Amino acid sequence: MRPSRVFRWIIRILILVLTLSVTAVSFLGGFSAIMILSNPDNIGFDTDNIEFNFDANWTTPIEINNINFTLPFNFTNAGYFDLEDLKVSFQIGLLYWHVNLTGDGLNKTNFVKIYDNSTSFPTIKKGKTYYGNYTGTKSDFGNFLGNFPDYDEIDVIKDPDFELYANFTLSLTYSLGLHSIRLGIYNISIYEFSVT
Amino acid sequence: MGFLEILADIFGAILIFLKPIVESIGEWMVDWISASMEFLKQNFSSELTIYIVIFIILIVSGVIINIIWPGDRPGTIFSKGLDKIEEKFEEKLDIPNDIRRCKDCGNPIGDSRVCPLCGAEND
Amino acid sequence: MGPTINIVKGTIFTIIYVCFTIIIPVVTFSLLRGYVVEGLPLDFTQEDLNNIIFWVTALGLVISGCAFFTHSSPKQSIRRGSFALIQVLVNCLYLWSYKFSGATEIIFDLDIGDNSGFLSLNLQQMVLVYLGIYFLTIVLKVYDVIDFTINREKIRYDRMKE
Repeated sequence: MRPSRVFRWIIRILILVLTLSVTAVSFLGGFSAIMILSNPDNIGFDTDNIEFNFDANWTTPIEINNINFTLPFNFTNAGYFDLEDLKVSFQIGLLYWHVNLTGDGLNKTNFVKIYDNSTSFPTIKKGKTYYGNYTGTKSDFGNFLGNFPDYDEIDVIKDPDFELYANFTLSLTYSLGLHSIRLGIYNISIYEFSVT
Repeated sequence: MGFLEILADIFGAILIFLKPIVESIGEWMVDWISASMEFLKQNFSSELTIYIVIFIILIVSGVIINIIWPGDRPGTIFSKGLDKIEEKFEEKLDIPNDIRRCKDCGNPIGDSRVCPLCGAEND
Repeated sequence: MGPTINIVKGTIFTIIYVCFTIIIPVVTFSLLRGYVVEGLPLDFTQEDLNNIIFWVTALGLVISGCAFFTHSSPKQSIRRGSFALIQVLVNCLYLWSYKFSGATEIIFDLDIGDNSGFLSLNLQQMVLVYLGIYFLTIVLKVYDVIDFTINREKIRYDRMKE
């Protein structure tokens, strides 16, 4: 064999090792994703224990003194690699019966967005579980406070007056950054309350 | 499970070590590939004819070149100078011309007196 | 090796490349087009599919043509090295043409009890790393061309001796 062919073999082996590494990491990353997602307990938003505080003067227009919530959640990284760049986006919609003042007398449901925010969380090492709280304060609600209906717009005969629904979007990178994953779950009923 | 974990650690370590280099090269690759694709998209994305023509040209020229110059013997056209190459390498082989040969059959006999091929005696 | 064997070898490799770079992807994407027509929630538009099928066929043809030239050429010849290099470069474009189809982002729709959702897997970073590794293959082919050119006489002599 000519000496120049030996150098070629070295490069070929390097390419083989690299390709094998990326393929193995990709495969194990996919396998990890299956392991994480196959167990519903691994990603848990504890909507049963959500703490939602709403304090308002039911005048026209409505005066909101305080609004905040705390949602406990846990994330178990059951895979082979660290879970990085974890970010949870959270949107809340308010569903209520809207009094029909101008139409044929039938009230109808109305749905308005009252919260849209996202929070980043630290890296979760492989095999570890992260227990955290997703919190939203009055300032996080920001401009969406204007979307709350006025008192005379709500059909208070219905019970409950308000239902809160949430959309979660969870984004993260996995497999040493090779895979970017986004998981979205829509229309989860998280809370309900009445004016009176 | 344990075995896969070890595998993940080994391949992960290789990848973490080489990823910064490989990834930046990958970004450079993406740049020139994107530019080339953009050029193709702007100029040659209307019909397949040009690609079919390229395919046919490659096949036909491949056949013709193989017939003219198959590689294992001097070609019918481009054989000029090959004799020189052969002469050059034959010189390099350094085969001595004064090997003793059998006087009857011409077989190389070296130092032996009797030809191993025809049995003739060579003094 | 005679010209006939060279041409047969080239033809075999061309058939393999036509199958793997054109027929299989086009059939797969055509099946996907069928699903889109049936209204299944795949993240492909009709235009994306036509686009990918066009580029897969176009670049697949060039790759297959180069494969014929490469594999029908004598071992370690300059023409083999040159066309192997062209084939690798076109292959880069071929791989990247998948990106325009959105094939680097896979989206699954989820149905979890009363709720709906999605799971999206973005493989763009992985493609970057693969392309980085593929660069080494280009380096190797360039090296081959240089090596075959420098050692041209020795390679020819060895080949003829065989």
